[in-house]
Amino acid sequence: MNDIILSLAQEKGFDALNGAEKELVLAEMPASEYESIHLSLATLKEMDQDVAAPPSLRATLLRHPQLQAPVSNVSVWKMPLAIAASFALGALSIAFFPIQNAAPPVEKVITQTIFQRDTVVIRDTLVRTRWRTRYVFKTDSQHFVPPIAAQVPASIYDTAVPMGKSGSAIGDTPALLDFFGLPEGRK
Amino acid sequence: MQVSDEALMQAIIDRRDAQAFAALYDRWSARMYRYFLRMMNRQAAKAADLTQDLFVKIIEKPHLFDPSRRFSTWLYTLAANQCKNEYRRKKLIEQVEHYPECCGDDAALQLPETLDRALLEQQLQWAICLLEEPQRQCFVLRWQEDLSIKEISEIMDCPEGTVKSRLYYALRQVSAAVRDVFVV
Repeated sequence: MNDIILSLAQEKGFDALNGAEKELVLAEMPASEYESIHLSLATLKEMDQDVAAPPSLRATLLRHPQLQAPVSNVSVWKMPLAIAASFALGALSIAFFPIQNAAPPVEKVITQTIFQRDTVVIRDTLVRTRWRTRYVFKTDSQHFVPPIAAQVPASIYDTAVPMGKSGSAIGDTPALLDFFGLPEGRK
Repeated sequence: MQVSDEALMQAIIDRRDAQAFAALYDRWSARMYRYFLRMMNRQAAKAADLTQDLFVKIIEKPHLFDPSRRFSTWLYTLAANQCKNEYRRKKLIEQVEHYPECCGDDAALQLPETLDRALLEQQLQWAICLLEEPQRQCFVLRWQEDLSIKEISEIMDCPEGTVKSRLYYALRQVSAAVRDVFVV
């Protein structure tokens, strides 16, 4: 099928062709075939013209996480106002909620085992210290306050704290030691 | 002045611009949906899915766009490959066995004004459904999407002569189906 016939078929039906065009067409194909080609081409282009993608599809696609949100049309004169407002909000939040510069409290407990036999353990707390580290941003050494932990004398962490001895050691009283070791019914 | 498709695509590549994407979608969605509808035997749900996949691909892989090519050619190439994959996956052609299945079910399909016109369109749709996949691609792209032979050869990655011959056989087949019913 030559291109001239095809372009004729796109434009007009067989009856609308002039004599020379009809001759050209008839040399190639019967009039009915030309007419069916014309009818097909004319109809094909007009088909489905009012068909559109489902409306929900657009909104779904625009919510895709890889798409950046559209830039808002804020006027230029509004920008300094917005910046000032954000600064004011920041200052207010600092004033009402001061920055936490202290770490959570640390507790240290030193105990001494008084007695232990099998599952029986008797312990006594010797020292319980609790401190919180606070960072002071001052360079002046006069105002420097050492952390509480530094103020606690190192000697208190020594487990061999001299204790006033009263009574006798359990090791010196075998009867008492045996008593702890006896079954419940025989005590 | 209207921003070109290629410039909008560049904005999507550079900064995933939602406005640029929305503009491209508004220009091309109806056309691509129609194309899928024609290629997928008038199955509206399938056409909507493929349209969505196509535009998701634009969002997720915009770097695949070659700025030296026309946007429309690239878009149709993606769409044609989707159809090819779909045919391969479901062997759609085998389903086109009888008339009612291929000729439209969908609410999206509006009935023309006259019964003759409706019958003619149905006959044409049926004839297109019966075309083999490469012929149908060529036929729909040329006579319904109005692309040039050169563009079709780029999209289908085949010589222009092959496109012309496919078009010739497809047109003969479709017009024969119409002639049997309408032309006395």
